[in-house]
Amino acid sequence: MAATQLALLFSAIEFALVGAILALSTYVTLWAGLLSFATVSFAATGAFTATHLMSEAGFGLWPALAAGGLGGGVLAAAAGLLLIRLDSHWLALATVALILVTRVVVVNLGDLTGGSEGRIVPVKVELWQLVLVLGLVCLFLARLARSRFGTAAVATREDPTAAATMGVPVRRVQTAAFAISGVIGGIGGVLQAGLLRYIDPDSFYIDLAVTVIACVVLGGAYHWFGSVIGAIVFTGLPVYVNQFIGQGQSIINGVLLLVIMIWVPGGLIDPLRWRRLRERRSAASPAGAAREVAEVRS
Amino acid sequence: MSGGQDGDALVIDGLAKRFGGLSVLGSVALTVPRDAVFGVAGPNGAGKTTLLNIISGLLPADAGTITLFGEPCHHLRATALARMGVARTFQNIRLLRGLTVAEQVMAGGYRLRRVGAARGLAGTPRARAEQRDLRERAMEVLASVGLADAAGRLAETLPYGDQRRLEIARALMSKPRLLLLDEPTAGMNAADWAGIGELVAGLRRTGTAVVVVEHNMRLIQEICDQVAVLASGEVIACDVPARCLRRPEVRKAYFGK
Repeated sequence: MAATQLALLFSAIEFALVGAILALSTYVTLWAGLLSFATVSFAATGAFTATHLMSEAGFGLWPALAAGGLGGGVLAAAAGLLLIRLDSHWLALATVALILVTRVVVVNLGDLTGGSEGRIVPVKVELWQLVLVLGLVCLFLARLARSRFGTAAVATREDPTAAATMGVPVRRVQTAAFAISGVIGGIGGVLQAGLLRYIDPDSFYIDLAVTVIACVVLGGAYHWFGSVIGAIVFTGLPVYVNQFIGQGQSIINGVLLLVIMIWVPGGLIDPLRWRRLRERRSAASPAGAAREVAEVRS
Repeated sequence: MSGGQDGDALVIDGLAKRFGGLSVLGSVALTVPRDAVFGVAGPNGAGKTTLLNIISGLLPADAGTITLFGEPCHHLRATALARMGVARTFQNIRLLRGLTVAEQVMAGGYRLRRVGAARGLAGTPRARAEQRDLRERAMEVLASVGLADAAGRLAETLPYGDQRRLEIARALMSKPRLLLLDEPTAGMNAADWAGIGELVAGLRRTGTAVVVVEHNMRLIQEICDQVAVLASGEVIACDVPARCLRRPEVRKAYFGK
């Protein structure tokens, strides 16, 4: 009993870690002001590319990850160049279409993908490997946030017009965000395949897109850490809770979605709300109040 | 007025813009010298903001030429112009939500950042030095507009007048060669706009050319070296403010007599 408990817990943690990587892929596009579901397509590209190479060319996990990331990145760069001209909701719809197209391609490229039969994944992913990759992705994003790109992405998200007058190349920043999202999504797809050990066209479909978006938006779309927390809550927790309640996953997800949307609209990790709260608190304190008064008088 | 000299910051000639059937700018010609504060005045709907949007590259012109520091630039969009040293503020203040006052100003220094993605990611000493310089300069710029004490506050919680100052600070952070201000004193009380006036007049000493769209005639008289008056998309007068405002056509456009 204790052994199965432990196994379930590990499984939940593993899926949460991969979920976090996929969520971070979507986070990068939102960072630059683009709502995109394309992470699923990037993950599928990475997963099927890597699985093929692992089965046929004897690739180990690390070269397969590199190939998967490259595959996702190339697809994302191409899709970005084509789609970014679209307005926000049309872009979102176009990325949903991309998921549908990806599925059709996967089904019809039987020689490479196993078609509708799917394919066994020959390499198993270990927990430490997931931790390492997620850690590297987080480090990358934290550094990126402080770089010139971070400033450009935030300015583009908040006000593309103002951003352009500050010298930010808005389209190029968004295309770059798409490409980065593709690389991270591709890597996430390879790891997801390594956890599932068997992938078919349904492994990367609309339901995964919904979960990933839920992780990002409800975890908090204004800081990369939000995606990580979101993934623990929306992919890890359901896997673990499923043992107690049969269809627990869908019920819990639905209830959590509603609760967060209504009472924590900025997501679980919301730096903006924290800043506002801090400001209100400092205004309420005597020193803060004195400063406010001084400002009003001056 | 066409041609202009080497010493001119901005030369506009034959500039025209229509929105559908509506002609907003007829054929506008202007020359803004370096080190000058140049006013653009005129009644509502005269085309002032459209003119500013075209100069800053947010709108393409239908006809005409724009020369910036001797370089033709009417084909360039906003990002490229910003890189050439054009900065602007907006009539309806456009701050970036969620940033503190200091971060807001640092974002304005985007065009000066030289450390590329690879160095930034590696966190090299050069990347950290740039970050530090940016912060220091942002504090200097904030001090120059009188907002040093507010550096840590959330930008959107500032009082209205301070938000205007902050937007100007963000523009100044990019070390602009040409600064475009769209009604910097709109909605302000007298004490506040006098402060903005001093701030803008002080820019003359820093070698920044300023084009300021403004309704407030007293402010224009105080701070502008020259003023062009627009009416229905045409420049009806362009002169030093005191003379300009005495002209009958200007009085007619403004007061209807």
